Order: sequence, then C-alpha cells, then structure tokens
Amino acid sequence: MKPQDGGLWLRSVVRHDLWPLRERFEAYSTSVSGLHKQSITPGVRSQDGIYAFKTLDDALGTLDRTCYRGTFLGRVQVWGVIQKHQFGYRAQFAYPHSLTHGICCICKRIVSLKSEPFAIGWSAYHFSDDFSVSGFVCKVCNEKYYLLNTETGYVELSELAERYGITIG
Amino acid sequence: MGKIGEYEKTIVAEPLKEPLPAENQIPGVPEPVKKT
Repeated sequence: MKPQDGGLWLRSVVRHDLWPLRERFEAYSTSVSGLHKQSITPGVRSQDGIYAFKTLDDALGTLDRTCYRGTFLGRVQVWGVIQKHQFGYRAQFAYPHSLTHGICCICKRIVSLKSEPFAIGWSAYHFSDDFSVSGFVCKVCNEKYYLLNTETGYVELSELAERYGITIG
Repeated sequence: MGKIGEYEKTIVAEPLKEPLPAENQIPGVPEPVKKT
C-alpha cells in the first residue's frame, strides 16, 4: 500500500507491483536496464504474466507468510491470454474483485475480513518518505501487543475498496 | 514455476461482464462497438 497521494493502494505479493486504480493491470516485461516496460502476452514456457492462485489453500500453501507486515488475500478477475497451471494462472490482464482475508503479521492466523475483528497499523520506512507499510493484526494480537483502534482500520479498508471499486468479503 | 505448479493449458478469455467494479465497467476495457 502506498499512501503517497493521500490514498491507499494494493500491492502484489508476488512481484510487488502496485495494482493500478480503475485500470486493468497488464502483464509487462522489463528491459535489462530496468528503465523500459513493454506489454507482453504470457508465453507457455515463460514466467511472465500476472500471477493468481486457484484457491485460498493454494495461495496459503505457497505464499511467504513470514512477511512482517501482514497480507491481504482476495479474488481477482483475469482475462486475455491465460496460462493455466496446476495451482494457479499467469494472465495477460487482471483487476481485483474483492478482499476476503488477512494474514496476521504476528501469529500468521488467517482472518476473515467479513466476520472477524482485525486492526490495521501504519509505520513509515526510515529511509524514504515515499512509502508507508501496513501491518494487519488479528484481534488477539492487537489486544496483546498494539491496542490499535479497530474502527480506523475498518474505515481505511472501506476507503481502499471504494477507490478500486471492489468489495470486502 | 514452482509457486503455481506445472503448466496445464493455454486459455484465451474475454473479460467478465459481472460482477464489475463501479460504473459497471472493467477499467481499461473498451465498450463493445456496435456495427451499423
């Protein structure tokens, strides 16, 4: 998430790109210098494309849960040329559909955003003013370690969903 | 390709019409052109 413009952003957990606001997310390749991006169609034998898992279990089985910030999980729409794999897809185009779960950054428990309490915290990187990072915590860890205002987290998540035109749950 | 497993097949899919983000449009996808 990137509050640089005063709003919140979704960031991919696979390649760390920001999801564009109200525009399709398009697969691209980067030049060796890293300066130029070019739209591409994911090839059969390439590693290109926007990655999505088939199921929540597939995602949880492969995602790095050691991320100290916590992570949101949700559904996405994918279209265009799609390379289907055993546990997921590499797509040419994608857009988020909904946010459904969070991974607590302390205990790594999976929290349903629709039916369980949670909190979201913020802290700035020390070396840059450009980005801030979010911490997602379950109710138990929040009460034990942080005492963050849960209402603030709900409001921020609602604002994020509204910016993208997506749903929660 | 370890994270999503072995390749299975290639699909070409149109964007879904429902459910949609706000304004009933998938961002970046142009409206179908009506032939006259």
